[in-house]
Amino acid sequence: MRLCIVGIGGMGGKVAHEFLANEDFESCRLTKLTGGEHVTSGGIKGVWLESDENEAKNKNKFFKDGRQNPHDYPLYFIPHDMVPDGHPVHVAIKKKYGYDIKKQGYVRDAQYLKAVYEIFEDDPEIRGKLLDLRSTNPIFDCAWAAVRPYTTLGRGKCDGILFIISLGGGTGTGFVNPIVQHIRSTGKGDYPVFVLGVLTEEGTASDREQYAKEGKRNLGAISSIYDLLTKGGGVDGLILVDNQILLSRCEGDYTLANRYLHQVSLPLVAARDYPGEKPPSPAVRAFSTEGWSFPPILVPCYSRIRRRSGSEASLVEEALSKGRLFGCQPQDADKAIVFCRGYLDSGKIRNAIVGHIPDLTADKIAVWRKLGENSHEELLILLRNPYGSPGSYQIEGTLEWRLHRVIASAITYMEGHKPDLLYIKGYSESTQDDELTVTDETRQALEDFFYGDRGLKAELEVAMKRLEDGTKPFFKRPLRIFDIPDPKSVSPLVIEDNKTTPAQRAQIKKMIQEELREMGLKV
Amino acid sequence: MINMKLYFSAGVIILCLLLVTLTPASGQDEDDYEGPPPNGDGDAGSRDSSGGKSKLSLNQFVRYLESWQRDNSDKYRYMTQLLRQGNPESYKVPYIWLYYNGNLTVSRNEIPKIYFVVENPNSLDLRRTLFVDLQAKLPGEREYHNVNQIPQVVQPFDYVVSGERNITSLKKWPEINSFTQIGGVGEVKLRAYMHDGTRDYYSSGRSNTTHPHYGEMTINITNAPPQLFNATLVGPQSPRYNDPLEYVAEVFDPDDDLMAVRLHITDPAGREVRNETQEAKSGRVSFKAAQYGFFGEADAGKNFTYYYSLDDGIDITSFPPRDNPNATFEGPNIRSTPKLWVENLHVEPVDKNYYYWDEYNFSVVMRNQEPYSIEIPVTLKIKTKDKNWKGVETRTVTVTPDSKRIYFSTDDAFDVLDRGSDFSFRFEYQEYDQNNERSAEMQWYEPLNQRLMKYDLVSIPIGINLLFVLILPLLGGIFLEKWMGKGRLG
Amino acid sequence: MNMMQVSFLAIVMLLLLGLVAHILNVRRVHRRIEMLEHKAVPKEELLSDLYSCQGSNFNALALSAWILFLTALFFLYLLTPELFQDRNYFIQLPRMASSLGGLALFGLLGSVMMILVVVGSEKMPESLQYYRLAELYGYYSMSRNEKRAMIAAIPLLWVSILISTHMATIHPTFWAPEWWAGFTLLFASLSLLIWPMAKEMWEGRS
Repeated sequence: MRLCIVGIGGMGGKVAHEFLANEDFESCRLTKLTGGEHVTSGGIKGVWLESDENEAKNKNKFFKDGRQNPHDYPLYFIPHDMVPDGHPVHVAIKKKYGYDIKKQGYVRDAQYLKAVYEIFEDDPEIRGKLLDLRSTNPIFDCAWAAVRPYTTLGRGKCDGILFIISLGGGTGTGFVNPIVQHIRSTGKGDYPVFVLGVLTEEGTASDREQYAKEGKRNLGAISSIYDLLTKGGGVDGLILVDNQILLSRCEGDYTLANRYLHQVSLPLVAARDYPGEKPPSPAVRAFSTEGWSFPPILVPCYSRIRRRSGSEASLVEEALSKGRLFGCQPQDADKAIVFCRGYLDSGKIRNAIVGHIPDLTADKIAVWRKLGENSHEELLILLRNPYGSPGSYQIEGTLEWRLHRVIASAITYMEGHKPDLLYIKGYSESTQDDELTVTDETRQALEDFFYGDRGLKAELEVAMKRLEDGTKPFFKRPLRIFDIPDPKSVSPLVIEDNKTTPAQRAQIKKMIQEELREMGLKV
Repeated sequence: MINMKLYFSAGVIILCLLLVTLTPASGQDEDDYEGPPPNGDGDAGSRDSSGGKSKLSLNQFVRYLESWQRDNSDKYRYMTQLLRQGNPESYKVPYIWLYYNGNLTVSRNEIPKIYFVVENPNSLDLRRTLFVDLQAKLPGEREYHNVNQIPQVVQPFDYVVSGERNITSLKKWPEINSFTQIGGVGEVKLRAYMHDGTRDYYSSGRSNTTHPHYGEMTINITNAPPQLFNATLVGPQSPRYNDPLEYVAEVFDPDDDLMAVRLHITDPAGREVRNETQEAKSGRVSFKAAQYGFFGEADAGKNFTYYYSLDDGIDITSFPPRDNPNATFEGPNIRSTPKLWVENLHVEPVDKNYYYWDEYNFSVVMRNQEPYSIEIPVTLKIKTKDKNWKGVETRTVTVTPDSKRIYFSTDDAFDVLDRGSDFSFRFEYQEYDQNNERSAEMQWYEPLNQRLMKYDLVSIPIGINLLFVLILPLLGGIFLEKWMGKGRLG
Repeated sequence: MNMMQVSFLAIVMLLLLGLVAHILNVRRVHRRIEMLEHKAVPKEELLSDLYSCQGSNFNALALSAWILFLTALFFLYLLTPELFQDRNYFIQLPRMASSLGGLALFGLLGSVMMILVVVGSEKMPESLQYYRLAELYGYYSMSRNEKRAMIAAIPLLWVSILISTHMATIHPTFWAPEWWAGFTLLFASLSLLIWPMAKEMWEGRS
């Protein structure tokens, strides 16, 4: 499994830095002489996608500007730079929708990029103005073009992508879904894509770091999670990490937390697989998505102990009890994907897991081993969908509990900040954000999106209920901001098969399955 | 005479026949030995069955004679004596002369083909054994002397009949194989001398001989003089009086005589100053000047010449020929030998550490004892545990009558192999010094320093070396990695 | 046996220790993997999976360090007659040693020999590829800090060579503390070079 690490946003970049740090001895002159390459653990490659030019150019010393130094490595890209300032499409979107796609540092609204993406994807008028840019969706095309060369879809060797984002931040939260959608829309429906999302911590401690208050962060986070978990043909797994837990383990140090996150991921990305146990990403993807129609939630549980004989049980015990990086009840998991490092017996690992999660049979536990350090052994268990017990939302430390609180916070924010969400004049409460002015059309669409009967708020309330009842999944129906009709279509109900994209087809399939379930039919 | 002989023989035969027929057949005794009985060969004269006397055939008679000679030799001899008793004066004088068909002027080393011939008119039974010598009379001699050692013998039966004559074939003296054996040169008379035990006969008694027959032969024997070739003087171009000089020449005598080879050394005026003689046969002769003491110190600065004379006992020849007394071989020209005074050898290193790479000032005090300046080449040589008098420098220096210190400054005297070694040094020159030597040497009391490296750590050479040593591995590692690419992702 | 001979033996023993540790490490991994897999695992396959690139810069410097090590060893023991009284550069080839480029030639000898060893080790078959010097560190997991520490062997070796050179320039004068300093640096640098093997051998013990 050789992943392409794509860090999106500030936090994504910092964590990606940890992943992509050069294992080699650093020296520019020496590199020129030896013809050396950037070497990372496991041979992973990666890129950083950022929106804030200041953050990218001035504060960062690791990633190089991909537009100016395309042969350097590793690189960062600012995708919205693809649209020149004053370009007709820039003007047209501003005029029609009120969105300034050249704005420095994205508006810290998760739906902002979602909206921009939908505009590019669906508005033919806008698409018609993109001819000179040779791209129908320049921002996301640029992002994909930055990532693709490292993948097997390009000339690279990475057979899967891992997006690293901060859920509740700005860029990552808003960017990840559109980019995933974009990847799928290019016809790469079965290419493994995972997202490692770090949920912003509770409280106000992160407000300054994330340039947004808790409620807004939670709304952004949950919007992003919602889209990730409901988009058919989207990601193959959302690895949820609670930044609260990370920081508690790292004494509140963000840098340490980033480093810890990298360490936790080593069983997943490091090299030195056991002979015959080199899982390609599609295999992991297949295991991860099998028997589940929606993108699954994967909760990482990590442990690291000094090497000793018979350590499998201890590792599993440690991981499932103290090593959970997101609150959950392991016994609710319907699958376990195990990556470990050390001299470990896969049978014993399975037995140990089964000991903790009796409902998991051995065939629902995949174990892939690597050789690690001699002194320590490590175990990373990705528990699939470790939730679903009724009433668990009341138990602190469960997934239901955590997400229930986030959803509640988001709903509260929505209820109390309607002008902010609808960009009504004078709304801005943050000195960081300039005021946006959107068109009435856009505002209406946003109002429907957020507050409509089948809008986000309503869906979140339903989701809360599902969490309380222990229903899986809790997010089901995908949402759109804009519903732009195709003027070529005769009837919205007429679907010309040869014109539907795979993504659309998948979405239709999901919708039918949902309807059938609601009708009580087993699918 | 021949008829007489024939009649005599016939008479003997008849008498014998008569004796035989009249003698009774049986009752033989020793005195009446008749010879063996006939052997039944069918000859005439076989015994008849009545035992009576038979006829005697010739063969039988011959057999009788043979048996008598064999079985009763004394009687037989007496018989023949009786039969022979006749006129003692019937023994005839044999004749001898020389036979020579060659040139009458010969060289001493030629092989003489001189033969003799004897004619003997006596019958076989009267002939005597003859003994023949070759005699010669040299110029100025009065008497003949024998040339050969062993006389040749002519046996009574050693004749062939040639017509009515009994004559020998040509005989020679085998031991005489050179005219040298005759013992002289000039007009030599030769004759043959013969005796039969009672009388002497000389070939010179015959006067009516014609070539190639001689009673007395006069032959002119000449002598081949000795020759000399490749006369050379071996030695230095401009030798000193005591330099090794050798007079060398090739001598040759056609007669293979032992020669007396004499070397004459002359002054430029042609006056002989000394000579030496060696006896030698054909081959190389040499006269070593040192061995014979030809030259002394007093001869320094003088020029000499030389010539050879060869005496083979008969002739004396000079080389070059002395028809011109001034004709000589040139050399040697003895160079003058100034005497040097050499003293106070010294060496001074520039650096008191006595490093082998340092510059050293070798010096010596020299003066010429003669009242003039000379320029002579002087060579400085060094001896260490590694070097055995290795030449360091050669210079031509001017040596004056005044003492002067001569310096040889060099940093090339020693090399790294000499470090730690004791050393000696010497000056060599081509003239003799007060000790009659041509060199002066000295062993120095201070050994060379053991240090090997010339350079200090902080110096450009070491710096460059170190740079190379320290950087090369880096480059090696970089090159290996670039080539093999082990550190790069596959 | 004098102290210098003992020191040389110590170097040799340390080198052997590294070699033995490396061989044992690989064998141990193989044995353990086979135990865990409950089947025979071809060595070539294991070695291929075990190997991970450490980066060209590090590899180049590691190779440089080994080349420097042999050069420093030559300089310390074979340049002057302190240890090998008859078999050393000064005695065997004094003319070359004292020449303008004598030291450089000697250093070249050491470097070339080690390069030949590296290149020669490449001929090892796949089942013995862990003997390839250029791939040595690919069988060990090393952090960036450990790599930096290892590369510190290079300046240590430089100083050792510098010390040996100084001793050569003052030979026959001999100052024991200086020599021991050179030896200590050599020993320390060798320790750094074989550290990953020794560490793995120690940590991996059952």
